[in-house]
Amino acid sequence: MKISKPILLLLLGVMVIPIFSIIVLSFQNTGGELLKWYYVILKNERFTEAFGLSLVISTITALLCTFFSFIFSLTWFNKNQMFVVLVLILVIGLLPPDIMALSIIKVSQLLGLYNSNLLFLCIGLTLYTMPIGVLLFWSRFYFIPDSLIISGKDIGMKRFYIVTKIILPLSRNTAISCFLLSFLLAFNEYPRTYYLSGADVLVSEFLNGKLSSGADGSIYAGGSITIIITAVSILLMALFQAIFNHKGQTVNAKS
Amino acid sequence: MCLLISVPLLIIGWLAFFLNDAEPGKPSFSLAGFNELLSPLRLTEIMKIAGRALTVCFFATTVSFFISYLLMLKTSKAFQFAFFVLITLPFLANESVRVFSWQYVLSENGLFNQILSSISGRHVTLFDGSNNMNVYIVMIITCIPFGVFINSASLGTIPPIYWKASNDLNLSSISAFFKVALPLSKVALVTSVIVIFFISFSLSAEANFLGGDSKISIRNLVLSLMSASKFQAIFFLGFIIMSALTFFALIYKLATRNRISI
Repeated sequence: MKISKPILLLLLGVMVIPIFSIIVLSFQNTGGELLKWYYVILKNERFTEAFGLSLVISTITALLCTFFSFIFSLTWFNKNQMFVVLVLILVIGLLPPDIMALSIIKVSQLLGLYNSNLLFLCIGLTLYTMPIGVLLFWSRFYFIPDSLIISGKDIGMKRFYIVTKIILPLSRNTAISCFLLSFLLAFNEYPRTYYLSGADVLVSEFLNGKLSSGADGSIYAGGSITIIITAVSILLMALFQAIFNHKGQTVNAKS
Repeated sequence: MCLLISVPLLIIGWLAFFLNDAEPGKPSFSLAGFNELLSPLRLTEIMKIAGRALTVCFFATTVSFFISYLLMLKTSKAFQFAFFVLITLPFLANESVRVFSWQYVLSENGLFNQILSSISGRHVTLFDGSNNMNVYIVMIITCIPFGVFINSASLGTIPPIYWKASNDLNLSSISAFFKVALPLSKVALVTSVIVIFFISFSLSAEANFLGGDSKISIRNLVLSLMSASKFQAIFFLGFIIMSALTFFALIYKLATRNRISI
């Protein structure tokens, strides 16, 4: 059916193109100076502080998410444990973020921890990104032949060595993708940062506040920066995946 | 296993039934959250949010399944890869930036009205920035990628022999869609309905940015309950959602176990 591709391209265009409209807005009313709003936003101290803090929080979240997602995703090799993790990620991933964030706040208050906003923000963001990280690792483990694990067991490898010598090296690219994906999710997340960041302002909060109240063109430049970061990271992930697929095909062809 | 699954449910259940809003330091059992959520005002809000989520869920699942079918069966691997990469952009972008972009595109002088005007040859103002229809459009488009991921994964695992058999039987594309793709994707369709329903139930920025006068959303409901110090009601709502999700997961487990034993 030759009409399939045009239909899909049209639908893809409807879904993707609107997001770039904010980049168009960032170049309007600049008075001849093309990058005027970008200079203005990068000179805004509140934005740069929020941006820096978001980078730090997102990086910590991405590291935590990659580590814990890998650990929890190992349940793939035990169907009962896998079901438990599946239920937990469903429940944690699909609970409205506002209720999830408030639950974390209440639990922290009940524990007597009132001044640990950024710690609980990292926990909240890790819980948010982990379901996707676990699913990403599971999608990789699906392609690891059972015979590799069985061979490892046959030669007397302990569970720890099967994980570190077989599963981990085969999941290196997935770990990189998981890091990038969780970084992006944490960097762009608004509801959880709104409830959990306390007095600190992150870039998503800054943008939400300015976009809903209506500000000058510099806020469109701020929004465009986040879109460019997201698009570049997605391209990097795609590149890693393409290299991985290419390597896989080369190995298959040789064997 | 059951103990681990019930840990989040127990935590939120404790907050829903034992958190004393009047004296948070002295926990005691009460159904204050339940009573608050059943008050006519709150119930109307929840019904509206759930009704909107159901509508969004129906359209997003239908469109996403259609997209997945075309994508997995009518296009090359390279096209599929590029499609999946591009579709993740709106899914990962900042919520406020994404919805604001839509507000701009759907405004009176926005891109969509301009395209419709140029096609029809007269000034069209079908979209005007903030109304209920725009909320539905943006929510459906936001939820489509989730459905596409789930349904494509399912369609990708259908053995090629089924498509070969349908070709040998001279089934048309439409017949193959209804007689092969749809019956073999039942589990994926149910999964995407559940996932999309709960995701659209949680979406709030769409209603806040595009809803015009009507800004009914889960966030506004939570904020309104917070300002009235009705935390128990918030956690009771969370308890209901969590219980429903756990119930669906257990049903899925039972259904797949029966299928294997058959």
